[in-house]
Amino acid sequence: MLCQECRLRPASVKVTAIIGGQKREVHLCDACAQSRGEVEFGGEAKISIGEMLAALLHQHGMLHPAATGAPDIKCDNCGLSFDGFTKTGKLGCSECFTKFDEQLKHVLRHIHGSARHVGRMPRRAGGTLRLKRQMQALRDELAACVQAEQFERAAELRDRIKDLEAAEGGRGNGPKS
Amino acid sequence: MDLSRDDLFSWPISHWMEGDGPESDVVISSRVRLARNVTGIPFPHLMDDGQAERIISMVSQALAGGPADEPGPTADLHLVRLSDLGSLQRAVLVEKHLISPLHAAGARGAAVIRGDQAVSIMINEEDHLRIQVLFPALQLLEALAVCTAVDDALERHIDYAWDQRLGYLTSCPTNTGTGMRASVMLHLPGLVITNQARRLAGLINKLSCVVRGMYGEGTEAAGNVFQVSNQITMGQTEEEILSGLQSLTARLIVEERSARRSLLEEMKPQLEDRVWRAWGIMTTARVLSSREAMQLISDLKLGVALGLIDRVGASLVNSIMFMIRPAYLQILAGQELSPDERDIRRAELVRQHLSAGTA
Ligand SMILES: [Zn+2]
Ligand SMILES: [Zn+2]
Repeated sequence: MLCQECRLRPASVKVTAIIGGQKREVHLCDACAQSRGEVEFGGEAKISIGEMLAALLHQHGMLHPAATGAPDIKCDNCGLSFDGFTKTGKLGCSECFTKFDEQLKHVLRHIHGSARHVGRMPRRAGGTLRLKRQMQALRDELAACVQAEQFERAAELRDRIKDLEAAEGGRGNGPKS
Repeated sequence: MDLSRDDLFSWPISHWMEGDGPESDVVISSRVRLARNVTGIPFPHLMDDGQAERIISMVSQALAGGPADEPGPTADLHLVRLSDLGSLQRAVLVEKHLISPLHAAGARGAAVIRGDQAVSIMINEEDHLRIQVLFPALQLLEALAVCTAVDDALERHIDYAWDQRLGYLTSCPTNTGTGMRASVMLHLPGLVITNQARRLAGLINKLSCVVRGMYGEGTEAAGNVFQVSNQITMGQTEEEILSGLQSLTARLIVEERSARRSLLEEMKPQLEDRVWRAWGIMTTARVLSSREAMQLISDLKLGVALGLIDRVGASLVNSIMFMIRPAYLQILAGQELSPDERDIRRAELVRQHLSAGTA
């Protein structure tokens, strides 16, 4: 008899398995029998996002607002409370991200290893944002130059930042963020 | 741009299911999906009917804004409301990977589907919009390019929820940032037969990717078909995330091919026997369960890839994999079928297609 799993090698052991809620006997080869009972490919252990959130908030000493006796915070736009978020793991609207910003930072860092987006941006936001990112980079470099007492380079950078600030001012309203 | 039901379901098998393209001996398809939301409007799980309707009409108007018949990212896109479809029709869309099971279950959703079924937009699923592109074989970058073009076209008319620091804001924090989930559907019989699947599952998890069965979360890997996708969506650009998935896929392809080679070297007669038995059963069986059919298709697909059988082409074998699904069988039959009746129809369909495909 051939192994019922790989159907290539001869079966050498009989294993009782629960398939679709029913007990069945399966004949397997050594190799397949060995890989049985171990983690199945594709079947990752899953914890709910709610459980993950609870563990995280505890870990960061940010106990549940309800548990600390502090009043629960609530999003003014959609009405979702932080308590509600930890139960479902789902935010309620774009404004929730502002309201729960402090807690979300830890959550995002835990999930993604980072809490900063570096990818695409909406085209409409693109122009002013590129400027902002560029300015931030220049400011960082400026701070480093001052620290290192490279004053000539620092003066150059200061001028470029001023130019960019003027350009940004001329653009009118930037994106809401 | 509204689509009649008849159009939607008389469509032939989606082009992507035929699976021609780079690395098609292992990679069945590539998918890129972008999650997008509208600023200020509650996400679908909290929205009321009026707000759900507003999102649908926003998308509808955004698409109408473009030149419908000229080539462009929004050409040939058709809107269909899920409430206009029966449960079987929705199930077919799920089987074709055009919408998710979650989406099919909700009454307030709509879907935008391109004529060739390579592009679809789920409206009011977990997020307001989920734009997805499905291509045959390994074409992740190509899929991202099309997805991005549709995204840009919509963004001209829709105020996306976006934050400079956090990126695209999504209902679930696991999608926040790029909002991008990219995945490849892989046929890995060699790795399963040689018992290496488990070792590689560990590797996949280490590389921040996730592996699942053919129909996503919680589904089993029937027919040795697996979906591998990126896990993180923040702190990396879309291109970086894709290249990570791409190199992992390349590694899996190499491992799968070498497993196939060693099987050929060590047990060619047994492998040939298995492939020809699959052919024998598929061309003669009168009753076929979905599970058995998937396993046989996997064997046949492997045989075709290794040149052990030349009675049938790779694209037909791929298409059959999607035609044997329960909802599609019932739509084809024009009526609801019991599981036993489906098994009979499935055997019939497989026999027909394989004998027609025989030269
Ligand atoms: Zn075995
Ligand atoms: Zn909110």
